Amino acid sequence: MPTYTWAPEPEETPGADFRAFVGLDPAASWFFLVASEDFLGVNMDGPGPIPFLLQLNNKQALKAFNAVRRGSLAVQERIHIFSFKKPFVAVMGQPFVAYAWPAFFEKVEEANEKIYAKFKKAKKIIKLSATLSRDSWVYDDTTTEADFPQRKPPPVSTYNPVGAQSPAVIMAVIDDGIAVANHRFRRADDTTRVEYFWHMGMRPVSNSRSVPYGREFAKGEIDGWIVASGGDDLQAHRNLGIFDLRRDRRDSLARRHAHGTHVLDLLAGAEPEQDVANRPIIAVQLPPEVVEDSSGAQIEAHLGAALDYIRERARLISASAGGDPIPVVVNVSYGFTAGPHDGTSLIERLMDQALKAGDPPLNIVLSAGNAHLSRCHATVPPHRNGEQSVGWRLQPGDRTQSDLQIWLPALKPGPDGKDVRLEVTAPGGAEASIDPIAGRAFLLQYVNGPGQTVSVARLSYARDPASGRGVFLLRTMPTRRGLHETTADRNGVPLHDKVAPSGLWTLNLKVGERITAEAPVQIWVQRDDTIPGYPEAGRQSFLDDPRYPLTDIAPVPPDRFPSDLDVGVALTAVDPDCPVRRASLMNAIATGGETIVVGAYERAGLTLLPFSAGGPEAPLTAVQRAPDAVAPASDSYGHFGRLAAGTRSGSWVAMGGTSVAAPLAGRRMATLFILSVPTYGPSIPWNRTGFEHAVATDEATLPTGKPLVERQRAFKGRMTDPLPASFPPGSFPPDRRMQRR
Amino acid sequence: MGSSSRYSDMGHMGHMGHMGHMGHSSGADAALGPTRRSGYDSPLLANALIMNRDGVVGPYQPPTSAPKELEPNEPGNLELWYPTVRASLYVFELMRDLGFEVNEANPGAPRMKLLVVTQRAQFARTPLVVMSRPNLAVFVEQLRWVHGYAQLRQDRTSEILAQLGGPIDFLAALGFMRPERARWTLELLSATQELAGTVQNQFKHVLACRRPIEYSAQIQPMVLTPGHGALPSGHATEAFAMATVLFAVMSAPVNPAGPEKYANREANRYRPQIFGTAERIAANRTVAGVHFPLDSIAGAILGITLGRYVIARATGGGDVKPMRFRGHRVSAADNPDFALLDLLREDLSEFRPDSASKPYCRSIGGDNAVVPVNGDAPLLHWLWYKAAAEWPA
Repeated sequence: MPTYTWAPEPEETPGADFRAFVGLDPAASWFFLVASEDFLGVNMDGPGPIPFLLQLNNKQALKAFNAVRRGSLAVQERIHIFSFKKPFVAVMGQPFVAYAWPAFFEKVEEANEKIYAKFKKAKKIIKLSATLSRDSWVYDDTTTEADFPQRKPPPVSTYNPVGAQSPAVIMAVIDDGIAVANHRFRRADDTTRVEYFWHMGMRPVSNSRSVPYGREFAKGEIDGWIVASGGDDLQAHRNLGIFDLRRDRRDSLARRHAHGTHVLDLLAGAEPEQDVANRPIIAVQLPPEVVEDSSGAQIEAHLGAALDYIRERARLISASAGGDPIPVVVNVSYGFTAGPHDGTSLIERLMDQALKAGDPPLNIVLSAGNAHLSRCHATVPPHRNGEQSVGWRLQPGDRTQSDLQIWLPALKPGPDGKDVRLEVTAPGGAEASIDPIAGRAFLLQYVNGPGQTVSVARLSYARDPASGRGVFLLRTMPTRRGLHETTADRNGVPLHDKVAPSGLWTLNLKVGERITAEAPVQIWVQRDDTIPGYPEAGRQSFLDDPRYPLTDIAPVPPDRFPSDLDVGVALTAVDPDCPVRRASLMNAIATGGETIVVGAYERAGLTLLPFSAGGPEAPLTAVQRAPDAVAPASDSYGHFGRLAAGTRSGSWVAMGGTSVAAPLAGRRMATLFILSVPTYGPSIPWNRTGFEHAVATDEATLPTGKPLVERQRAFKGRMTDPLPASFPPGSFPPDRRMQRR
Repeated sequence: MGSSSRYSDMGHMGHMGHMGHMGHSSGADAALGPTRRSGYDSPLLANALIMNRDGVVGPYQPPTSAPKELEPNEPGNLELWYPTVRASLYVFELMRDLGFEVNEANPGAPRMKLLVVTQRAQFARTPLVVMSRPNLAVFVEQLRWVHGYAQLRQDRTSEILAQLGGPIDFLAALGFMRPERARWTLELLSATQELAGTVQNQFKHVLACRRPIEYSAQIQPMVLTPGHGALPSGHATEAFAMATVLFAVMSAPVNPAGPEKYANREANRYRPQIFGTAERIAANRTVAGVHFPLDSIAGAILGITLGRYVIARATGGGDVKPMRFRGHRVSAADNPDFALLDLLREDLSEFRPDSASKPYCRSIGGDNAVVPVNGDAPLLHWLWYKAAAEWPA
């Protein structure tokens, strides 16, 4: 093992001092400097623009933003907006999606020209997503906003449900691997129920620029290919170009099981002969490189763009149908683990604002995440002499970066340096000590064979602009790279030398008196695994502490055989002295105020599934919330998961997890809305409150012998299964008008 | 003799050299008792038979009459012979009219023609299938497909391994084809497979196309790459030849004047399942990493035409549409994938007309051109109607 040392990051490094670039994502220094090859995708065709979320906080910021958006600036040196709602008007305090090339950020950082200097100082918040692959970006270096989307307006909807009195709900999904031509999404005449489909990862064609990257398909085009393919969905997908094994990346429709198809079937699937007219579908397929990176570091801007898209297309559908705007449910079975978990992130604000605006009436259902037992969270309250040690175990063979975040509680500005002091010891013994005042970041380095200094990790402190909380960021390179990764970075260091040491990293925290049990320091490890069906990528690192109980054997009373196999009834409690906790591991984008978050329970035993993540152990507050409910994501102990559509029409696959729970909740909500069953009250408000009320009612109908014990993972309780027990799954209940005698 | 029966069998087979018989013992010989089945000519049994005869035979007494003579050259006698003997008789009938010719489509593009004797007296021969080799650059481009299809390896592992021996188990699942219940259909399919195998090997040898593994170290096939040329694909040729024959025999009347068959009435359900299975078997070889999609395209064209040839021979003669695989006309930019609907019409009953088909799949002599195939194959004829009788009306 080479000798690693921590060295302070050179002060003159441009971009190293992020505090002058007001509001910039604290991870930007890592992205642009140390890890630029991975972030900017030097191994791809060359970087495309960087999508990011931007929030402008005062009038000066708005002005500065408009100045760097001007068409007179070079394309690569200004901000671009490709908004679905025209004209685009930036609103103070409301995050939106923007795009800019790396050169723009360099100009701002240099601040040699007035408009860039003003923008650098403006009160704003920026959250970056990694660059798009060049070949999915619609525009070349010379294209301007004016070309979008008027050159190709979106296809007008022809949606018109039979019988205007039948209420409709638009079912939208943002996922990966959505087989839009599958028969589960068709009407009795074999036409598709998918009104609009945005495939973000496709190579665009010149006459199809109604989206900024990838391609959009409207119902007409999908129907055309279904007919031309004789109803065969595989051939239709081939002809649509969404199934193409020539692309050198995983094709999410290749395998028998595709995540998005299963999720959409649970959300809105039905047999064609049921001829469902009142649940039109909008689908968005995320770019494969976003999906492959399970850390979710790239998802936020795409999520924002997808939501904007869905809202605009929903308006078109409602306009076509006439009458009141049709409510929309959006399912997002995606997430990650690390973040402040207090609803302040830009994507959470964006979602909350869209939900509050109610234009169109919207619900967003998020999966709670499967990280409950992942050992990716620790809480550090004061401990004896105010010192606490936590181990972070980085796995060998981890081909993606790892990311650990240590969040201070929200404290009034004060002498930061006194609140927390952090010492990090890398495997091999190299030690760095950092506190908020000193300000400089540290790089873990070693000298390679040819004598080059290679940086493999970065430790920094920042004030997160969105939450105002202090955060230590420890990001590392992969612990393994392929031998073929020979590309050299700008300093001539080959990529395959940029590996961090695997093994135990020790974090030693000394906390001051403002850190209390109610306001502890919180550590999160970012999700980092290989998505099934994708090539070998990440291996999950975790927090390693000897006091954490690895095996949970619920003690069985002597008068009872354990034949019920009550999994998840009682996980052995974590020693209160152990910093690693089973708490606060719910999806880091699911802690806003208005989104609906759903975890998982087992249908047969009515027990919470052990992996379903939850909120904090401490009493819930307005900003520290728990999942609203759990849905039956697994049939029984022996039959894991739920059966739903495989990629090919007529096939069924089982999948479990909170990814499955969320669409079940969406389906149930739509059903309850359409039925407006009297026991739930005269109507169900189409929001989180309405959903919670419905779930509480469901919970009350459950047999009393099976109490719900963990409110931190299912705050309002267990939702009724919206699918009948008969097979094939998924018949929608008859419409309200048929129920009225 | 104290060792397990399995090992003692092998040892005896080695002594006696009757391995061929052992290989086909699953058919009619299954009815034999354990001693005979496990060791036809074992010393134990031979000795016992000698002793038994000595004890029973008595003085020689010549017969005063004789059984009626067997009809010579009678197809019905086939039922009396070994399956392997029947197999060699069918194969001769299938192969006797076939020949081959090699030339070049373009300089550097070898081409092979499968010829059929249409008039035996004059030995006039007509091309039935013509195949030319694609350009090297095309194969290099085709590697993208092999690389992409590798994503399906996990999904298709059990199928690929189960299909290593050929398509029969999968085609047998499309109808009630237990060995004793569909024995003649299975023999017919076996003879078809034999024909396909012999013909495809001629093409493979002459066209001499390299396998995917030879172009790239990243292919890393999940099964052993076979020791013969890539194009045409053997699995594709056999699967499509057998699929063509199977559908026809399931849907053909029992005798020329017989009632319509169920499979014929339900042709638009049966054809997609049978040909869909053949298509998937062929595609699985690309998934496995041992074939290019073009190999399956060529194999499908050859296999379907050979299947029709078998049907014509076995049903008293008939017209078969001659087909060309124009490999030399495929460009690297085309880089076609294998999709049956590119070659056949939607109802899968016929190749697409030349005007509506891909440049690499064409008729020989126009959409209506046919090769008149001789029907003088009494043994195949006999077999055909025995097989057709196994399918319900």
